[in-house]
Amino acid sequence: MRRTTILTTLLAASLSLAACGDGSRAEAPRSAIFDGPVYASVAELDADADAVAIGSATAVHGRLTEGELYGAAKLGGAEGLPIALYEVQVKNTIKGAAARTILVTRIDQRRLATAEQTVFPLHRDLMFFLRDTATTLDGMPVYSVVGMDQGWLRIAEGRLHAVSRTNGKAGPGDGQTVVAVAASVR
Amino acid sequence: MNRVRLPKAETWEGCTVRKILWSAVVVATTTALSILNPGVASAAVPPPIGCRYVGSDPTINIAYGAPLAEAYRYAAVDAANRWNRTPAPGQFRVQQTGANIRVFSFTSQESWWAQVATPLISECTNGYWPRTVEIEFNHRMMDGFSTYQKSVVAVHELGHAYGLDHVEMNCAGRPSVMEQGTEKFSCPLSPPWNDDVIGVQNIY
Repeated sequence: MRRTTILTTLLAASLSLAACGDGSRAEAPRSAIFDGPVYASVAELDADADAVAIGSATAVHGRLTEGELYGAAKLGGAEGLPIALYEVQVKNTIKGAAARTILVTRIDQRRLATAEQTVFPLHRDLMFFLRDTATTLDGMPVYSVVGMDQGWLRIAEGRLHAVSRTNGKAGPGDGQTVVAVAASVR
Repeated sequence: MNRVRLPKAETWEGCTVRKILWSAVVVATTTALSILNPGVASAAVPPPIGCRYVGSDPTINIAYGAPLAEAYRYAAVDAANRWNRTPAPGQFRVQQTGANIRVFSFTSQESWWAQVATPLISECTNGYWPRTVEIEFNHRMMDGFSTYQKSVVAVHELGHAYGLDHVEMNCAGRPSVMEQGTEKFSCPLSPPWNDDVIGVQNIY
């Protein structure tokens, strides 16, 4: 009898811990379909960017909701999207004042799967068009990407390769050289 | 305090005549466009996304979530009425109980206007939504939009809830509300357009 009580208590405790998790949505993973701006050119991306930088994502620093990161009050009381924060080592700042190490947000695909956003490959050279969220976490400034997947591009042999493909077209900057795009940024 | 007067979601019986008239207008407009601009009238019928509502003529209940700002509540109801006035099967109805769709608005730092958050498509049992679908609007990106633009985005999101996916389109040819981006804001007439209705008819 006593052993049954202890086992029941342990089971209840483990279930309640599992339900709490990391404070994120307790429900099953979901998928999302987004509508948003479609950028026609690098100039349009640049116009909405506070910073443009070349660097590489090195690790996922943490997984939170927007409400946890920015404060639910700033979201009007909502939980917001689940996000993954990537540590990015900046090698070259083309525009703005990005620090050597910054955090860049992505929708957390583990909790909200979407075809509109791709996870960053680690330790690869990338170009980022970034929005300053005016938030810091663990001493690092937090940026979001302009235009979901449109605002980051892979770099290979001096050329940019767009990740996004919207309305049947590759995103801005695709096929251009890093030098040409960097020179065009204000 | 300024209060926005919300349009009432119309009943099927109340708008049957309007649906028939709408069909006639759409057929006439499409025919005229194809005569005046042969070659640009390429179809933009949105493909199915893989999940839909049960039945051939479903009643789809829209409930207000919290938080939800009045401007987006208006947009959701206006979008429901716009779909209800077309010959598309089904009927959107604002009702807090038995919600098929729940609508929210909040401020996100990510670069999106609105999203439909659904159960994973792979969870669709026999192709039907297993749970309530959530529509969310992003204040940061949409508060500067006009009332009409907010409604167009809401029509787009209800299209996803119906079961429509994104499609490429050309305003000068055959417009669709299911394309991503701003082009749909300036297409002639107003959404949903004929190809959107055909997309829903193809599903139901």
